[in-house]
Amino acid sequence: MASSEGPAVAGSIERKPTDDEIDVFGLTHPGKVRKTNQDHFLLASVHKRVVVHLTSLTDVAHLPFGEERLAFFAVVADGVGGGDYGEEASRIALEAVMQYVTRSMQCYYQSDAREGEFIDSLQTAAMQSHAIVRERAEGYPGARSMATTLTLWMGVWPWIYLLQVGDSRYYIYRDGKLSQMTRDQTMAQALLDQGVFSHSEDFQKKWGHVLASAIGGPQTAPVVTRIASDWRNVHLMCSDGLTKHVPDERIAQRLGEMTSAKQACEALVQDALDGGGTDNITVIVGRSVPKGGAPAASP
Amino acid sequence: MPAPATTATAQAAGRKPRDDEIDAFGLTHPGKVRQDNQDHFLICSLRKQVVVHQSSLPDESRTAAGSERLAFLAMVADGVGGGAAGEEASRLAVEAITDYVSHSMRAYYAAEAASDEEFSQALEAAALGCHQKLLQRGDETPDAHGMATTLTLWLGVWPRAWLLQVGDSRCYLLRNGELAQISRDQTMAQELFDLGVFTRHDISTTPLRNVLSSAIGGSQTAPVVTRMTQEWGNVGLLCSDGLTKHVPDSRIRERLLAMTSARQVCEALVQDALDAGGTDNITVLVGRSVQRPGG
Repeated sequence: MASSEGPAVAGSIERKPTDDEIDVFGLTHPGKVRKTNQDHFLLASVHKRVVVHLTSLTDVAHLPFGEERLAFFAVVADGVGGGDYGEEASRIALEAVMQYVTRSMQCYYQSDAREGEFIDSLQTAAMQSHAIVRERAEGYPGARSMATTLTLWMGVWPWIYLLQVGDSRYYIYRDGKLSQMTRDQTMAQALLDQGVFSHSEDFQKKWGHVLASAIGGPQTAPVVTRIASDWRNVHLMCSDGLTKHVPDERIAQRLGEMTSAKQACEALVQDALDGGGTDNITVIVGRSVPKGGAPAASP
Repeated sequence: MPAPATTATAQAAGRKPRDDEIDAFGLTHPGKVRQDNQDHFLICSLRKQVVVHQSSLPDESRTAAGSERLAFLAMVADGVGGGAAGEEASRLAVEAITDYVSHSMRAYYAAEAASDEEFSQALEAAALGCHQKLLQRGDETPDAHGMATTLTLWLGVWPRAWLLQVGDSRCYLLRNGELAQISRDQTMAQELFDLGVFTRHDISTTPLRNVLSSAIGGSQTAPVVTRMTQEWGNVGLLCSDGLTKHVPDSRIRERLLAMTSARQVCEALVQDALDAGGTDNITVLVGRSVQRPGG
């Protein structure tokens, strides 16, 4: 039985959100212990627009050509490495992956029947990014261990494509329930999956933060998944600086009470700081808020 | 053995022209006899732009490197109808086709052989969509009844180009010094020539040369889509029949061969048409790619 509350109504909307219906925010903080912030994030969108160069039409401003959003991107990268190399790794990886996806992906906004192409392209983008970070690392003595996580969210209505390397995370909150959509690519998770170890605290301490796959690391195993878009979803992406200190229940509570993406980001970063703030903290929160009249009247 | 300079040029010829390498211009003139101008033209590009909303990156410009041109459009429409209806017809057609191409057509810049056929069909569908829009407008407004227009649209998606033709506005291409008419006039005279009823001489003298056999909003609409390959060095020209009524192909070729810029050649050709009588509205669009250093 669907109630007449907001979320249930939002679930019935099938159109793509307009630009002003997107409520998204990102925040990064060095934390209370580390001197540098090796996390990076990016929120961007790709638009198609008509530019009129010359015409006999007198009222160009009122032409119905407008602008169309083709894709929305949210990316988190958490760098690893001595000195400033971790920061450099996450920065280079993020720039490289965005350059690849925005320039080389020919069909990235054809939402129909191109699923395979999208997935291949995102995997190639991750490997390109890996190669660029490796190349950089070879150039410096002491930079050999530079690497980064990379979690990239690409919304091409009505689908979400998710690229995952490392242990930054993507969660979906819907109808009071928080689900982790990414799988941590850590040694702990890998060994757990093979049934080698159990969830002991010692075990988590030792292996919990050792990446089994990273951009620029000895192993890179990008995983791409596709998820259906839904107006009811609240999206959260974060580096492990959040999840080290803030349990899933608390994240769910914050997202359930959120008044805006900005407010939720600020509250969650504060929670992580209050919980110790031992690592850099990055949080991105996004949602679609329907505007303009009853959804029943929406096309 | 090619000299290094030649090799460099040959390689450069294969790349897509940058925005600053496109020299395109358009001009329309009512002529010396008619009081109003029922021609319309539009030159525009479809662009992909990356907009960064928020980031921790110190130099966002590396991620959002300007906007990329996906497609280039140039079109001419020559309206037919009493009063203001002809002008409205050509205006509606230009607006509708641009709207359609920019919003509804998918895959328009995915340069894959497999999608070519699909693309041509989509352009034909776009023309028929415009046709329906005009008919609807004609039904709603008694004054607008019977309004119609030609539509010649050039759509470049490097390295390909598509030409959509309805009516008798024209597209010419100057290639290796030779001028070729790419579009086929959709007039009764041309139809009868194709059937072998008329001779080449008949075409230029019969009154049927001014009767459209196909038009957007007309009693018949038969859009034709032609696919071409773009090349550096080619010069493209679109025009309404106000130019070609008065200016022979040989003169157009001469002008294009001697051109210093798209603007200069448009002005010269419109002046030629005026000097020869200017009995109709004149519209001329010229476009070419000019290699410039840098980039």
